[in-house]
Amino acid sequence: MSIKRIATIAAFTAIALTIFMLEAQIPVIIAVPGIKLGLANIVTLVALYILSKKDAGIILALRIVLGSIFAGNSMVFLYSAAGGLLSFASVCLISSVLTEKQIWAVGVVSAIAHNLGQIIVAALVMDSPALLWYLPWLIIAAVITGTFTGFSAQFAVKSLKRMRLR
Amino acid sequence: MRRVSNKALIIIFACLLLISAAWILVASNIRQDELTAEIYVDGKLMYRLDLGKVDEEYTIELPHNTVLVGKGEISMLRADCPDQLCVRQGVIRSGLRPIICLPNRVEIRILKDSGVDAVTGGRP
Repeated sequence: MSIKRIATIAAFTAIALTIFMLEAQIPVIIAVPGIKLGLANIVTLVALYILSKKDAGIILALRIVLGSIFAGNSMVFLYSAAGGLLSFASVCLISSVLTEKQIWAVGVVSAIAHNLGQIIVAALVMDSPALLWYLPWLIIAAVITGTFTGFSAQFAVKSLKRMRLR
Repeated sequence: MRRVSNKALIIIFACLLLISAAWILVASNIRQDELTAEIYVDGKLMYRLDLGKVDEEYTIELPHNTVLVGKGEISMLRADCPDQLCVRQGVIRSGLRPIICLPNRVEIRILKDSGVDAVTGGRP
């Protein structure tokens, strides 16, 4: 692992963690657990396109571990790890059939998968399948927030590639 | 590599939105008459209450939460977590959307009447 790569991953992780911590300060408008903007996902998506799948995975894992230490507890870690894992797996799968002008769609799929992973783990932890009644709310929220974060990532990737910051 | 058009993507996501909206509509229109509420902490059943037989509102104190029980309805009055999502969810009257407090692992669930005729309070 080159020094440049370590430094790049560290910088991306720092950005992701900062966004994650700032987002945690924004009050939630809707009273459904698990709904948030998912701004930190922008960084994961950008890393996926600017760096590599492997590096994006490392950045995501670091952000989840550090984010849970700084802003949450072990339960938060469990939920975001499940969401992150499912989200990352689905992103890796679909990013190969989508162009760089369709990163917004990757954002949507990623958000849906994240919420799905989170609610499945929550249903298991709480031993309550009734939790799955939240799923339609979470899907609607994911489509909206995912489009937003996806477009953000798309524009960021476009500008970064133009600047040749790779 | 096969490419997916933007149009196809938008149609897929729009369908997802429609299905979810329909799901919510159907779910919120189902009414139940006789109600039994169950309060779980850490996945363990702590209380089973018959909401049809509540005459006067009362509260139940849990380690991190306070539950308000009324006739045919139940709500979370207080939670010591920062997000307060369960408190802001308000009153529930059917079993379709349980009140969940993720940080404290508390769940209030309403089920169809199962022949309970007394209010029981179980301690772990």
